Amino acid sequence: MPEITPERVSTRAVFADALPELAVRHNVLVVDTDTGSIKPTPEMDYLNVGIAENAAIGLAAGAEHCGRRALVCTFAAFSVSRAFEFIKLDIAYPRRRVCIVGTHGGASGGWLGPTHHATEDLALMNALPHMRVVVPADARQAVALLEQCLEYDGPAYLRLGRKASPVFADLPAPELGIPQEVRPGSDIALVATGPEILATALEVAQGLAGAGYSAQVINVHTVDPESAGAAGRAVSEQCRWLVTLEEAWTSGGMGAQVAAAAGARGIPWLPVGVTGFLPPGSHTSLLEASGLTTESVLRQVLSFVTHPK
Amino acid sequence: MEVRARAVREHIVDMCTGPEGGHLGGSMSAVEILVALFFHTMNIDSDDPEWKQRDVFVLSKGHAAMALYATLAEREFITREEVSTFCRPGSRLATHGNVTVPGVEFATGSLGHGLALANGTSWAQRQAGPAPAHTFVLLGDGELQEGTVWEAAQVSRALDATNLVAVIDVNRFQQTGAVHEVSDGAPVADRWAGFGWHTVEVDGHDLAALCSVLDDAVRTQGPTAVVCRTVKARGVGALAGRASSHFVRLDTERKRARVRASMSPAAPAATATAKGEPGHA
Repeated sequence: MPEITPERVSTRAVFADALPELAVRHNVLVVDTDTGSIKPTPEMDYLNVGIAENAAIGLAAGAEHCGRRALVCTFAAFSVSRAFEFIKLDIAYPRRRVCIVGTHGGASGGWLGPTHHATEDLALMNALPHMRVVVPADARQAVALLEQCLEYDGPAYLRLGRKASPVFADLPAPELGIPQEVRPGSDIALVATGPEILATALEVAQGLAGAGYSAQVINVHTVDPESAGAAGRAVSEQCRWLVTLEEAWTSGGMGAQVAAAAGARGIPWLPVGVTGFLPPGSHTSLLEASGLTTESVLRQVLSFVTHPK
Repeated sequence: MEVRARAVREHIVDMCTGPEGGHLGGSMSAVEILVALFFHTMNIDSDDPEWKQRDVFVLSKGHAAMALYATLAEREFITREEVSTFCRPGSRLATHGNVTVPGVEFATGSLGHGLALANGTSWAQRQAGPAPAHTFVLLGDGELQEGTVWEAAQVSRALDATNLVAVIDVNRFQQTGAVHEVSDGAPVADRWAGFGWHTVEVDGHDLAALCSVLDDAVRTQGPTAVVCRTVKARGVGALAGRASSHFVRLDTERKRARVRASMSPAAPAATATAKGEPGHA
């Protein structure tokens, strides 16, 4: 079972370190929107088009049309919403081999304020046919999944964080589209997406054990509808309750996909995610405001399982 | 090429006689531009539409798809017979450009996407070698109201897209009326020059002038804008220069006969300043 290590590493930072070599290896054009999250090397094909998300997506689509795989690096809050139609018509509809990277995902923008929070991104990207929607659980997963997105023969959205986030010892290597059971259990399934959230789920599982419940914990790093079936099947047949935890609005995100996939079982579902627009504040305080701390989730889950509706 | 232009116009009217109707005005205004590009300027192969070294054409004003289909038929990318299937069950010829048609590179029904896409194709072409193929993107003047056009234009200039030519079909009308009445802007050529593009203006229906200007554009360093003065529904005297030509359904024999009669070579084109009732797509 993976353990939360004292170490904290930014998924965005490891992306910046790993990308130059991966971009050259896979012959990927890197299109940046002046994010400051790229460390270009002379060997890379790198274009910083400036603060121009629609132009960046369109350019990547045009280059891919002429045979060049591309990666577009953006702030998640600005690419997914502002450039949504370009992503829909120029990337997803033609099934282009373009990886859209969104940094500052979820509430990780913190004090940058609600203009920089991306809590709608999972739902919007999940809505698009053909789009893989990927949220690594930690820095090691971020590098592995980045490479898998660059190799994937179609469109992908890779959500990254901003500052240092949890790292897990013994977390298995990820495979695109395949959820990971990280803790076996037989009463309550805790399905989690993202570094902070997986850490919380593991702590909640320990709290539930103290209350007499056996909690299964599943890390879902690929949250799109195509992966939802596998995630739904990963929920133990013995579990009588489903709890989904994500740093996103719950409409259309990971939880909505997993619940839809597991719906035929009639399993009661508690979605836990970001509630409404978040104020400025530290990442930690924003998770608190959304009830995504260990104490709050534990309380919500115990209430859920002990007060059937 | 004049004969080709006339044939393209015949095809366009043929498509408008179908049950769906079509964007007649903006297709007719683009005819000479397309004929010049596809029969004179562009390096393309109808037997190999995806030939790697081809020049790329991006129809950013996607509603002129009828004109593109008609030109592709004359250029033998598709058969002339296929033109008659436009918007009929089973056809791949949709009202806006459909990418399953050879020669149609992108689905550009939503305005404002083409120039950003062209930045990508032209960049990729420049990576292929020191004498790159070219990308030509056709925009409408109403389309310039989309902010994404200018976001992309700035990038073209920043990248010094030397093999990129934007051709603007300035037919002066859009869905509900004159462009300057809907959303007046600075003169089109001034805007492109202001964004740092090499900018030239030309009569968009003068084939010889178009070919000459396009030859120069291909040789020019840096992105080039060719601003074409055109007449909406050019060649159809009854509808020329009127907003009502934006979307037309020739669903009665009387309408078809009237349009065909006004297409005779001797019929004078109506003045471009005429105003008409709004058309409805």
